[in-house]
Amino acid sequence: MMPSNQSRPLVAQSDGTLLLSESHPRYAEARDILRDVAELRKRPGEWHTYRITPVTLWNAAASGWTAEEVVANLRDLARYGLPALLEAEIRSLMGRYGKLRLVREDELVLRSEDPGLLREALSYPGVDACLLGPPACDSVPIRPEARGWIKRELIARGYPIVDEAGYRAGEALDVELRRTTEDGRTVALRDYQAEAVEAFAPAAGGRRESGSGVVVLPCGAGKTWVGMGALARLRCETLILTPNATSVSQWIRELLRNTTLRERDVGVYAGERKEVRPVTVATYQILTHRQTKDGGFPHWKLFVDRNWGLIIYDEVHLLPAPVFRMTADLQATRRLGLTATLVREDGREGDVFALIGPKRYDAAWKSLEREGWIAKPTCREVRVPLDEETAPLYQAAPKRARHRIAGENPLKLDALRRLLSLHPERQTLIIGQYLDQLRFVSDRLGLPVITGSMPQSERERLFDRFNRGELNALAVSKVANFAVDLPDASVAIQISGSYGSRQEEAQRLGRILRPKSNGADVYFYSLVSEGTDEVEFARKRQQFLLEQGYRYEVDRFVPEAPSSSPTPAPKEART
Amino acid sequence: MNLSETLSRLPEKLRAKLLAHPAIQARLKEGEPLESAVGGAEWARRWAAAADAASQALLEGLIRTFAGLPFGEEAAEARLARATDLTGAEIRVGLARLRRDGILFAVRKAWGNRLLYVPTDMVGVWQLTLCPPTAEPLPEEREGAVEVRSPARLPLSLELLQVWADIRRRGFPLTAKGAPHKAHVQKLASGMRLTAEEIADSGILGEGGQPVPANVALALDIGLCAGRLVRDSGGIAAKDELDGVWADKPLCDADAALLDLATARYGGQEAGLHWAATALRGLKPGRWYLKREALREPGAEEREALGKWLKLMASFGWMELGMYGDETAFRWRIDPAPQSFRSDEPAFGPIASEGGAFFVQPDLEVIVPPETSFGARWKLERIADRMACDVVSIYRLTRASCVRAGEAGFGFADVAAWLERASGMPLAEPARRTLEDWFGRIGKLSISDAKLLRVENEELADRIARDAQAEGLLLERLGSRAFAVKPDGVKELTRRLNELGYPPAVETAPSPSAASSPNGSAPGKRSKNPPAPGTTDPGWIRRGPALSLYEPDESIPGREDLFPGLDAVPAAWVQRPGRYHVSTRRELVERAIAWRTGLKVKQGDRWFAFVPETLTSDEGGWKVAGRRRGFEDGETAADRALELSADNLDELMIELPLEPAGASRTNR
Repeated sequence: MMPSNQSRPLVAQSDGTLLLSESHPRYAEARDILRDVAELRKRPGEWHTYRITPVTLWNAAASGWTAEEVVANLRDLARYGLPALLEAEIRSLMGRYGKLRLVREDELVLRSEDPGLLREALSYPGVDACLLGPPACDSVPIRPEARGWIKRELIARGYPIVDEAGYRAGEALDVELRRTTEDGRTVALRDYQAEAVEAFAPAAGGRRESGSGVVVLPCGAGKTWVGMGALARLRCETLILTPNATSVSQWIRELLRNTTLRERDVGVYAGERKEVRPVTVATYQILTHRQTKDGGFPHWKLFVDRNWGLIIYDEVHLLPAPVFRMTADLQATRRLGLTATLVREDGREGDVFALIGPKRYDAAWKSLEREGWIAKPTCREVRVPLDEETAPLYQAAPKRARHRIAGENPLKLDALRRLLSLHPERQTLIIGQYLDQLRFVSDRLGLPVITGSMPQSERERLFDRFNRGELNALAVSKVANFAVDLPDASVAIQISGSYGSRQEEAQRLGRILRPKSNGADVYFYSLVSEGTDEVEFARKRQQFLLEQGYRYEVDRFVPEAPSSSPTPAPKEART
Repeated sequence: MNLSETLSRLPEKLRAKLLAHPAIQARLKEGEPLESAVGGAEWARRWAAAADAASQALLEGLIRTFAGLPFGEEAAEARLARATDLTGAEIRVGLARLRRDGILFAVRKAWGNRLLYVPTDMVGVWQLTLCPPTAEPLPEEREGAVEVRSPARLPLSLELLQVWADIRRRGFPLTAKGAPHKAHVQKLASGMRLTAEEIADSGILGEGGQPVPANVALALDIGLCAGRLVRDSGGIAAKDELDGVWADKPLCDADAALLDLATARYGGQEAGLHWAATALRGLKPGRWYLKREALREPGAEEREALGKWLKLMASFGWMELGMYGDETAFRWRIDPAPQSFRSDEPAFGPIASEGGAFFVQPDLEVIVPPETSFGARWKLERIADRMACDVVSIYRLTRASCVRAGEAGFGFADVAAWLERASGMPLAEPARRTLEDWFGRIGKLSISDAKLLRVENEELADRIARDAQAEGLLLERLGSRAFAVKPDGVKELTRRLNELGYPPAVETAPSPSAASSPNGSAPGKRSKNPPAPGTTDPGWIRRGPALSLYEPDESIPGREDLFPGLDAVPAAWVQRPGRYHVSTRRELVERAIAWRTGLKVKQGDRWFAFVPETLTSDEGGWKVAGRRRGFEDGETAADRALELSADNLDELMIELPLEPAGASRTNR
């Protein structure tokens, strides 16, 4: 073991895991470096876990870091030294970055100053099909249509390609951010949003490879604003892809409210509407729709219907695999990915790097929270006992049925009432997994409920009423998990959830993280049936937020009425 | 055998002699117990400062030739006479002197052969005292030029921790033939970064034939030798309680103890290997050295041993190997110095400034820095799942690990209190709450073996329940007509029920061991009749009988034993040179050859020391072949060979080495 130095804040492991001590005087310095060269995996307490991966190192290289600088900085920060294995890995991976470049000469050319590396890269099966002619010592012509494919295949094998072949300008579009909205509110990007736009598309032109990449901002930090900022900066026709129809509507509303675009400039490509206009907002779902399992994707033509100068991928961590394939064919178009996390459940971070582009900007949740750009939540788990009727039912049920019985615990209604009475003036979302339960709650509390079966226009009408303050509470199913903008919601009460999905918990919390105009704190409650498997599932669901530095408190709900006479549960809940 | 074990078996007569030795007495008067009075670097330094050159040369020769291996006096005389300038007589006298000085000890085999040995833990101490390393580290400014080539490895202590913890959890059952379960062993082997090939290549476990991969064999062997593992009736088990360096000392202390053990047990099987291994322990930790300079004037065997040991140390995670230009370089990652050579400077290695505390995160991950003790890790292995073992180790408390902890007898309060004590911080609320939830359901139920006492009717059952003697042997009443009986109370209860006049019928079930062993031989048969403690090697690897099998030898040879017939020769032969008749000259030469000692000879007007080896007769008389003592500049051993006829021996005397320590080497 090498001598330690307690005056250093970092522990570097051989596998690329980095642990950073939050209370260390050099924490901020180290954090700023790690944000560039590693990815934050979790920050549950004193020690924050980062991870160096090939993609993080290439992202660092793309933003100007050299291997020598990374090694020197980590050495300087590392309490027990930098493991030789990790140092070698950093040098090897970063040493490859920039060695292979796609450039536009008379044709598209893959060029390298290292002939050995070029030979190595071209030796992989399938690569020869991308070549337009025989390789020379330091270069090889590439088929234009293979631009994305070769980038994706070679990065998967550890050979990143810097794409300097440039982008088409796209059809010009006269668009800019308004100075004020129609209702008189000032339109301006926050500092970090402006920085993100600048990092993505520098005003002065920047390096040749800039113009594509990913901006990482926490939920509620205004990723849409970065998209609008990029649109206004590049002033070109733009295709915006989002995860769902609600999000489509919200993009359009924001575009019309905050930019000089008029209604005739903006199209919806989702559901029944198939408008292709200078700025078109579509869902991933419509793009990946096909009649049969083996059939073609009829809506892919959207990508070539217009001369797009920019494609924005909202929630890029959710980008479905077929869209990656389409994106591979669109490498001549600028691409902006927006996300709260680069970590993908399917591990395809490399595809995001190769096909969308490197990370251009990243801002940490907690620092935005400190600066007041996202609201500070109080997270509370409320444990609700099972009533005397449900408890034996739960005990007797087969394991697979228990989760639902616990989730639909009738006493949760009483607990819900009590929570609503704690925040009578606040706009509250009641989020649930089971439609029967949501309808039961809606019925008993006299609230409207939004589910997936409700027509989009009706959903939007209710969301609008909620946003206007005409509704104080709204019950919603999982349709509201993603990309629904409810800026004034400040209380969320989760009455049931899908087993242990960590992502769902974070997304649901994200619904209330928009900073409130009055600066008020926000509350996230999760109702959990005491003494059931739901407690354990809740713990798993909370894991992501715990790892992000949020804390849950636990309360126990004590029913006022004798538990022998609970609120009757709906019959369907027993199914 | 080490010094402590040796002293504990020391015959009273020898103990008295040691206590009366002036140098040892001085140490005892300073308040040192006997073990440190004749052990450790300070004693070695003092002895070496007072000892004559021949004694030092003899001891160095013994260490270099035999290390801690036992040897016979004749073998020592034969090998050292070839390797040094000492005569056989000087060697015999020197051996006796070393025994009187408490450096060399002896045991006697049943048929009378005497085996001498240097206690294993003193071999390195003597080597580093008599032959300190001379290698200089690379200048610090050139260290950057060394390219590290060795693979990243955990310190051996952590490799062993993983294997031993697995054995604690799953056991290590052995079949009747002493073979373990293949799948289990393969899993253990593949979980180690230290590979079986590395251990096999090093040759430290001897020739193959192991029923387990070499890396697992090593972990078992060290575990058994270090007392962390024990043989039981069914196989091998891990001891739960910890002591010494395994308890609360920083991890580097455990590695230091393991280095002691490895040097003695594995290096000590081959004197050359032990010599190289010990020489390396005299070098500074954390500094790069060139392999070429590591040993002083190494022979081919020592050079080969050095290469082998360096690789092994790198595999054990204690050393890094690299290339400095075209040369192999190495540096220690731990402090290799034997305990008594450590200075008062801060220890090399992670500084336990925070008491080796680990960190418990709110998500129940436990981050364990390198300085955390083996003992704390041993406990974490019990209550948490190991997620990573690297520069720092990472554990996670999970529901399953808490169940295991519960089975081992830990409750929420124990675990929470220990985590808080060991981390020096209160548990974060989410962590505390989660543990409380998990432990809330643990330990509520248990399944245990118990004998059942069935009673024909309730009235009799009540009577038995009221009987004070019987009641004390019952666990609990299970109903109106049945009781659970304490497992160890069956016999006594039977006796008592007989007394009460109700002799119970005892139902017998087939014994589980018989059921599982169709051939009638139970697992772990080999330990059914365990040998007396200390008489066999404790390890997994088969080694020769332990020295402790033999009786300590209490007789240190006297002058008449060393020089048989001394009283029968004229005193003048050994006291002063003289002119003798040719036949008497021959007698003197023959006597010197028999005693394997030297002669002081005058030829013409020149005196010189001569060691006679063979005497041959020829027609005209006889001549003696041997070697002249003492090297002159540029001389080789061949240059000193000499043949003298009777006429060449104008004057002569037999030179006998003197016995008392500190006296001149001979009676010249």
